[in-house]
Amino acid sequence: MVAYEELLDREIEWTVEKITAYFRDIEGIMPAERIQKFDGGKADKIPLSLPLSDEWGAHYNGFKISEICLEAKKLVYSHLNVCWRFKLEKWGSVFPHYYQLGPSAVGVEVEFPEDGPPMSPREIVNDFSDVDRLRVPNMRTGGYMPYHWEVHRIWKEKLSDLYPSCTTQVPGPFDFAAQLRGIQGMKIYTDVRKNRGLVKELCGFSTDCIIEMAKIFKEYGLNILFLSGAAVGHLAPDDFMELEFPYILKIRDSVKSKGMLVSHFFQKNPEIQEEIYAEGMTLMGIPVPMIFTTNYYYPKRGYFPSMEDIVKGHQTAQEKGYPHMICFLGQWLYDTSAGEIRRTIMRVFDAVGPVSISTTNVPVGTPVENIDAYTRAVRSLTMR
Amino acid sequence: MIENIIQAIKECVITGEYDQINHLCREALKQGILAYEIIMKGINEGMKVVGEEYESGKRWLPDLILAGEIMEKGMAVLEPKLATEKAKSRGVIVAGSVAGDVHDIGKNLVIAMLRGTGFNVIDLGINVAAEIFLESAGEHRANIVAASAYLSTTAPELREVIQLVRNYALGSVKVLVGGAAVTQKFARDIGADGWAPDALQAVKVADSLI
Repeated sequence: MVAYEELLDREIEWTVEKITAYFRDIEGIMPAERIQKFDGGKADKIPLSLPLSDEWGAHYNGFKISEICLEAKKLVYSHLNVCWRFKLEKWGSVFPHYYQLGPSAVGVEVEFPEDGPPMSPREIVNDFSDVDRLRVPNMRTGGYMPYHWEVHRIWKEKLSDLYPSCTTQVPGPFDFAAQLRGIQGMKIYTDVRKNRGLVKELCGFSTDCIIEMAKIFKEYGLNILFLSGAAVGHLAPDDFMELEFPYILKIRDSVKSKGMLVSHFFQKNPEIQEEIYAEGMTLMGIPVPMIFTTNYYYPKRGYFPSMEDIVKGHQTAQEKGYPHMICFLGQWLYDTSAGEIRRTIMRVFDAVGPVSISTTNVPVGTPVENIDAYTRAVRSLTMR
Repeated sequence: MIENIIQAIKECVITGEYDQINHLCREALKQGILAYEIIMKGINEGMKVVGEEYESGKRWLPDLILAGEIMEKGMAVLEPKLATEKAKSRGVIVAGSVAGDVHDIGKNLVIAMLRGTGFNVIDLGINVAAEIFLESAGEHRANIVAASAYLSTTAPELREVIQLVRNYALGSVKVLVGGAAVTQKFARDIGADGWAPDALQAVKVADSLI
């Protein structure tokens, strides 16, 4: 009898073999090479990475969300099999609880409801005296971090030949702080207006924790640290520049000597774009200037940016010589039909040519046919 | 004078003067202004401005949440007086996140806005079974059941709520649905009486359902 753990190892290895054979023998080009060619403007097809939330992947592969949150091999296999299913060029597993992983080392409790993202229901910081008591924990062994490092160990050992580039997401300083303060209660937002000093203290502490995490990332061969953010996306531009950006720069400066790049959550505020660029950072999750068209902040206006916004973004990108990226809400793939997806993607490409298109997390329960329609529409562009 | 203090309460909500609201509400009551009037002309009007500015992109979430907190603080002073005034509420609403859904940020915002605009809202909390919505609607003689679903996996629970209310609620209880996972099309498909994409719209839709 083969042990279950061993079966998972074999599944991972076998899936890597399948993906390798597919790209080598059918596509005639390996994922990393296609990405490189696309970046140089010479790709035969647009490389694909899908932010299929790993909740979606877990259900697709028959796992509970709590399983992939606690068992490294299941997360790796789950995400890898999604890569195989949609023939993706990038492996960049999104931990469903990546907002809580670092904070868990500080002592934040995490709950794992099935069919939904994990959450930290209780704050561990109520006032300044609680902040004074906080100490940067051992990010190697604290909370759920050992699980996190195990995922990266498996990637390095078994996947890095196939998918050599792997970005890792951690919450940015404000989001890390929001977890300590109890995000479910929205307390950090009222702190922003009523108790700004506490927010700054928390962001400072969170920054130190993130820097400790970054040091360990390097050991696993990870060179890009993406400071992600959900809570920070709701801040006003001035708040962002005071309560997030200086801490991002501190993290960047701390890891620069290790050869790590830091990028951060996009902040769609035209008035602060130039200021952010001037510091050598970007509004998008890639450390190069980029024009970014999204409806992320305005979902009421539709899941997809208007064609007018897309064309305007494209023109600006051409004027400035920056790449252009379009991002729409993943919920769109859940709500719409395969036919509408194909038609919309084609309309975009007809208007602006081949550009990077991405989505926010695709929700659990999104029909696989819709995801197929999306990936095929994107793939078909350069084959017309 | 009356206009001045009502205006000051409205400004308090708009500008986020957290520490002033209790004092101003007590002062307004001392001057003999009805709690209902303070809520409708002061707090409600202030919330409306903040909500509209948030919707148009001039304000951000911290402003909206702070305004909600100020409103709740003021309501704590005013609510006990409402009962003695026998002021007419705009309607009774039972509200909650559906079974399996533990998200309450959006729901709380909606409830804050509804209360601030004169509705009597019974907050059932999170993870509320369809039967509880029904029972509570009967107990409080509600005009509206407001149910929220944040996740696509919990959105189907809204259908359960609607069916139960349709089948068993006496009178004309309407169902208002919303939440991140709920589109207008989905709301229509499951037979909801109303759908709102945000807290401000929820007030408008609730008004139209009464």
